[in-house]
Amino acid sequence: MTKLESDVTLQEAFRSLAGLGPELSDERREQIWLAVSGELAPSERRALIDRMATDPAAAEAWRVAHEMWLAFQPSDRMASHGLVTRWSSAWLAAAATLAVAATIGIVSLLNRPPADEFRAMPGYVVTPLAAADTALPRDGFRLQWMPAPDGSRYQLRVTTEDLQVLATATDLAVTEFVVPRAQLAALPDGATVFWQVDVFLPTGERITSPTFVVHVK
Amino acid sequence: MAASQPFPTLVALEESVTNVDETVDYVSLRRDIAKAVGRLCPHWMVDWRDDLVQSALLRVMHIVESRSRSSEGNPAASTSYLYKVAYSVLVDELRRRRRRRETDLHEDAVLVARARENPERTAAARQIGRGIRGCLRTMKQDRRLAVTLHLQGHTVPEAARLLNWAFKRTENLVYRGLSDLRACLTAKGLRP
Repeated sequence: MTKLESDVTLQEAFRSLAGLGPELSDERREQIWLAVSGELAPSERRALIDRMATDPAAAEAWRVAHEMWLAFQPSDRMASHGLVTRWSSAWLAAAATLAVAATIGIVSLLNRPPADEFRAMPGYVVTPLAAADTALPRDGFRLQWMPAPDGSRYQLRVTTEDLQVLATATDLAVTEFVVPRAQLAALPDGATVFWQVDVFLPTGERITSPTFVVHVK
Repeated sequence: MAASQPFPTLVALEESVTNVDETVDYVSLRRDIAKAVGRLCPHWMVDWRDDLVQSALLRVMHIVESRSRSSEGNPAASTSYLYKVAYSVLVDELRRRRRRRETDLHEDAVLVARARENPERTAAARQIGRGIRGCLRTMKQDRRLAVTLHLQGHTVPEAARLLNWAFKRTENLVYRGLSDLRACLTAKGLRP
């Protein structure tokens, strides 16, 4: 038996337990959907995956949720992004990254785990206008992103790399925000700043961007 | 969970629903449910696939219509809501079919489904499945997470995304975890 065949056998055996365990609670069912659609914080998602290892009902529900989630994704976005998902917890991902970095004493953006990716509604992706890791002047620390459909509103959070909040803005109608110089005063040149946008579409849908990174100069 | 009972997850699911005004596309939904069922159904359930798809779709329609009636004046359900409901309905339907297979010994469809099974193979798979579950319990957590997603059929990039880990780390953990799993199964006298 090849390794691939062995893997398939293992997968079939793992799935053969479906239906043997206790029934899934509504809460767990909801959590699973949130997890596969990226709306659950990474730590909660991992906890759920851990549970799946020994809970056949949760494992089967996960497979169903994953299939239906993939089916829900527009094919053009699937092609351009691979697996497209709504990952609204990028902020928490950054926190997890920093916790690890603090432990080993190194903060390296290059070694950061991938930001929790997200899926947007078809046709709109939150895209920053400046390239990643751009250095912005203190006097014009302007964060800009591509506009969503007319009528959208934006909410913004800006933090240091240790997640100290530098600025927040809510109900913005424009797609830019200037962080006041005074808020940056304590940061040295080259300091890393994280920012993230929540977009509220006119339909009522909410889209959360990944965490973007810029530096102070 | 009997099909005739009210759908128990309706309230929980509705809480996080966002409405948008759009036509409900049941044709696409049916196609997508059929695709999912095709990928999820075990071999013995093959004769029930169409029935399963139809039952799931009807239940989704019933839920959506009930919801529309109870929220008069509100727009139709969003597409994401439909797929979420379909997911929940499918979970119930798959479980219900399994229960029927286990308990309804006189129905023709059940007998046909059972005839499709190779009892020895099913028993062997379940034995290995239980072995896998036992081995996963004793595995280091990081490896367990990576291997669990692998056993669920996720690719390494998908697993990395779901776990929010770097690709290389995830790949290593899947590799090492599978090695642990095979060794553990062998120690239990199981050879997948």
